[in-house]
Parts: sequence; C-alpha cells; structure tokens
Amino acid sequence: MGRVTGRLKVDGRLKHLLVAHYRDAYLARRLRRPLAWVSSGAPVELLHAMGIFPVYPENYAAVCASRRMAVELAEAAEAAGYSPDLCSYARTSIGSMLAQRGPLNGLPLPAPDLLFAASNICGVVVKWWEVAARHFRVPLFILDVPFLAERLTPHQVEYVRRQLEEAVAFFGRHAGRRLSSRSLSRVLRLSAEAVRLWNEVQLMRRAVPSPISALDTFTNLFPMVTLRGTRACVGYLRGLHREVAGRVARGEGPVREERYRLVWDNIAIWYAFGFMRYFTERGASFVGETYTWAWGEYEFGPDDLRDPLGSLATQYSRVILNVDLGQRLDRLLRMVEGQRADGVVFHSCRSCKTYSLGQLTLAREVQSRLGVPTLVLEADMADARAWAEQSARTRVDAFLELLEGRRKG
Amino acid sequence: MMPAIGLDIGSMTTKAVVVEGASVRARVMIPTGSVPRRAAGQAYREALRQAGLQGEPPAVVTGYGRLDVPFAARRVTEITCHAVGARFLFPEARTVVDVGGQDSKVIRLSTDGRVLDFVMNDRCAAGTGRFLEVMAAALGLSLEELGPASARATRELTISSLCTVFAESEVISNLAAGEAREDIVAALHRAIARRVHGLASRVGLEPEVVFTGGVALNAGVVRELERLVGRRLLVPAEPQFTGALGAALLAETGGTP
Repeated sequence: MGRVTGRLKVDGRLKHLLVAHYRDAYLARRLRRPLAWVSSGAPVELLHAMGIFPVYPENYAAVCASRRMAVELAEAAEAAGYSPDLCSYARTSIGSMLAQRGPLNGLPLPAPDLLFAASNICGVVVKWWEVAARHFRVPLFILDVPFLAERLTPHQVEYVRRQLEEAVAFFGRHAGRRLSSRSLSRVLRLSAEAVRLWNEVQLMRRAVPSPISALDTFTNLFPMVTLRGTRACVGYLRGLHREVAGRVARGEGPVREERYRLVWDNIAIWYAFGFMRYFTERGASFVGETYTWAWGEYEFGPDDLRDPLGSLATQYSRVILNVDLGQRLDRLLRMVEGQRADGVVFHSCRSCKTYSLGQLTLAREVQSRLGVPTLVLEADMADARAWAEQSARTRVDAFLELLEGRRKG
Repeated sequence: MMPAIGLDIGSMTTKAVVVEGASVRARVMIPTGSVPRRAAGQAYREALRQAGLQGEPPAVVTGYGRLDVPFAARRVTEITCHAVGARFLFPEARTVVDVGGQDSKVIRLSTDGRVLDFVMNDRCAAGTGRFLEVMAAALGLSLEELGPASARATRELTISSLCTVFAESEVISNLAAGEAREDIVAALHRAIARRVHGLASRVGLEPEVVFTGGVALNAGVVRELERLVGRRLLVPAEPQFTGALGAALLAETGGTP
C-alpha cells in the first residue's frame, strides 16, 4: 500500500511562476515589450523567438473560473448580447474586456499590441479574436490550420508553413521585431525539452500507486501552456520531474489505497477542484488526461531544426482537437492500456463542442474494444451554472460501485 | 436466512422493503417530505412492525436522500439497487429503465447481472414523474387518472416542447383550443416516452427491458415506450419498490453489488 501524499512541493513555485507571468504581462508596455494575445493551439514558439510577450485568454479565463469570477464576467458578456450557448472561455474573456475587471488585482487581461489565433482548436477562437481586434483596434493574424482527416498531406503542411512565413513578416511589421534562426532554434530546443520532461512525468503515472492525480496535472499544466519555449518552464518541469520520480521510488501517491485507476477526457472543471478530490478520497486516482497529454504532443527532434517552420506546421496540425475521431480514439486507447487504467471519465463540456462531440462514440469503443467501463459527466470548464455537483457525486458513486463489482466479479 | 431491510429515500416518496430468503415480508411507502431522515426512520419502523420483527436489523439505504440517514449501515446508489432489484424480479433483465419522481435512468446489465453502463437524466424535469405531475395539475386530473384517460384518446396531438414549463403552456393552449383532455394526455405520454427512449438509446436497449419507478404504473407511458422500443417491457407488479427491494437484497447478502 502506498503512503498518502498531499500537494506537490513544486506547487509553491508554480504560484510564483503564475504571479510573475501576469506581472510581466502588466509591465510589458512599460518595458516596451510587445504583447500578444495567443490562442492555446497557436505556435507560440515564434513569439518567444521574436521577443513578443504572449498571454493566453484561455488560461486567463481558467484563472477567472478557478477564482469563481467567470460567471459574473460571462454574465457581463451575455448582457452585451453574446449568447449563453457560446463558449464560456470566450464569454468570460469578452466579459472581462467589456467590464474592464478580472481576478488578478481586479484587472482585466492587459490590452494586446497584436493578436494571434490558430483555427486548430475550434472555430470560436477565430470569432473571439476578431471581437478583440475590433475592441482594441489592433492587428490580428489568423493561422488557418486544415482539419486533419486520417493523415497529414504534404500540401497541408506547406499551406500552414507558408502562413507561418506570413506570420513572421506580420509580427515584424507590427511589433518591429525580427526572427533570427538562432533564437528560433533555441526556443524550439527549450520547447522540446519541456515536452520531453512533461511526457516523462505523465508516463511515471503508470506506477502503482500513481504518484499524482488529475488535480496535480491540471494545476501543473500552466507552465506547459503558457511558458513553453522558455527557460523558466524547463526549470520548473525539472523540479516537478524530480519530485514525481521521488514519489514513485517511495511508492507514494495521493490516494490512501489505490483501488481504481481512471483516465479523464476533456478540459478540467476549473471551479470544482473539490469534486476532483472526491475521487481521491474514494480511492480513485487519475493516471492520465487527454487534455494535459495534449501538450506533450509538440515533439521537436533534432531533424526538425533544419526546417523549423515546416516542423511547427506539422506539430500544430496534429493537436487533439484538429484530428478525426479515429485518431482521438487511438490516442485514448493507448493511454488507457499504457497507463493501466480501469475506467474512463468523460467530461461532456457544454462549452467545448469540438472536444465533447463524439464522446459517446469514444465511450462505446472503449467499452467494446477494451472492456473498460466509462462514465459521462455533464459540466462546463468555466461556467458553474452548468454544474450540479450533488448529482455528479451520485454518478461517481455508482461508477465506483460498478468498478468494485468488476474487481470482485 | 435473517430478515433484512432496504430503504429508498426518493425525492417524492420513501420506500422500505423487508425481505427474508426469496420473499418480501413487508413494504411501506410514505411521502418523503422535507426531512428525509425523519421519513427514513418512520418507514424503517413501520416496515419492521408490519413484518413483526424485533430488534434493529442493519439497513442498506439508497435514493437521493441516502446521505441524510444517520442509521444507514451502508449507502448504495440507486443504480446498483435498481439493477439488483430488477434482476431479482426478472432474471432475464438486461436493461433497466427507471423513471422516478425527479430523475430517470437507464442501466445496462451483463448476463450475470453486473452493471455494465448507465445514464442518468437529473438535470431536467422532462422525462420524469414531475413532468406528469405538473401536467396532471394543469389538466385537472389526478396522476392515477392519466393512464386510463390516454387509453380513450382518439386524435394524435403533438406536444413538441421538451421543457416542462413550456410543455405546460402547450397543454393550456391545447385546452383553450378545445382539444380533448384524453388526446392531450396521450400526447404527453408520447413526449415523456420519447425523452426516456432517447436517453435509453445512449446505452443501448438490450432485451429484456424492465421498466421500474413510479411512472411505470402509468399504462399510457408503458404503451408509448413499448411502441418506441418495439417490444414488450417487463413491469414489476409494484415498480416503485424496485430500488428498496434491491437495497434489502444487498442487506441480506451483505455483499457488494
């Protein structure tokens, strides 16, 4: 039996990183550093390499949600006419823009000098960024990434690569920065190192008991999303890697007696971390999440440095929300088997249609191909109005009873 | 075998069942009211009295109020209890459709009776007993009158709204337009059956299908659901006791689901 361990020690540094990141963002203008709003699926490495400071409205919306401020900001957007059926990240971000307030010292996200979004995660970001472009009257670059059905074709890569060349020229024009191949190589190496460390941490969760659970990875995802391509990110991940490896060596984990090993599909429910602890208290560990795993997919090998833009085009075409259901299923099945999971929890996220459509098919396939049971929970990543915790707990209880029946059976 | 007791604290009613061996010795149903633990205590004592039992046998408690019952020996979800109860009544059961006062659920079972998958609707009143209660009130009928009324329907109307509040206003405008109450009731039964069938299709409707919960007492809903499923449903004689029965059976074996 494993020993119980609470929060990771590196979490203390994480808070520091988050505060420093947003402090730098608010100071960017004073430091004459151009600031860009960037979507989660955009190749941020270009911005780092050009000395442009990136902030993520999606991450900011998640911060708003975890600090219980997303609903009132979403309501501000709804009062301005944005539909409640729109993505809650978009409503939170737009609401914060319009109401000029937010959770970090009461401030909204600092105004951008330019905007950069990629269509590889959804269609909403494109419209959302257009709203921001009109609101702030700043230039917008949209990277159009074709949906990847079955396999990536050379002309698709070429199509995205050429747009990246345009993006470099665009950033140069509007931010007054140039791209040197040396700095891009350096950023890509740092990005690759972060991805390597992150993936190793994820694979360590194959251990019994799993050294960490979903709460840890959802929290520790911040540097991977926001600081990927920087030294700070690599430094942080080394610490995380060391601590998790130590836990594995000592047989420690967050669960007193690990009875169930689960996989999570879709974005975290940022305002309901107490609910995630409910799993841990009942002996269930999460050994993988398709969502946190997604940031481990940007793998840049030494070969990629020869054609960095082509490599970025390839990597950013393969993101989880830009591939067909068959490829998503393959990744999910590999995770369930590889991490020795015995159940999958699907968060059917009201906001994220791209992620949630097809989950019933995935669930059916997981059941029939692996004989692994599945559970669907309806929620939303940021809008707590779509969440009923008590009934969700009953479903979790029923699911764990089902898993217990299999253990005995 | 020692007698054993199960309690199902539902949103509307609290049920208690005492079993001994393969037979039911007592069953009690009372309104849950606003204090589930009080209803639980009352149902517990009454069931033991009816069964003529002394002492305080440990109770397995299920239903939405299960967390509020301090004397529960064990708490088990409705999913597991309905599966156990339905399988006891109908060993050939592979799917359980339960429509209670405030939720509906569909459970798929393996050949040996284990729960394989389940879905619940607990976000919306459409497709629950509450839907029928609201409509009965709007029509000036009692719940018990709905089933027989729909059997006299002659014209096919459609209630299209999936929302209880809007469906109620559809009922009122149909009444105002002079439509027969019987036809409106039949349309409501089709609406709830469509909703439940949609939910059931998500886990698959493997035969035999057992229909439990208070709404299974309504012959009109049973008929419409059978039409959608395309086969006969197995309905227990007292479908609203299935969860409490399952709880009692779990108390008796002391085993896991």
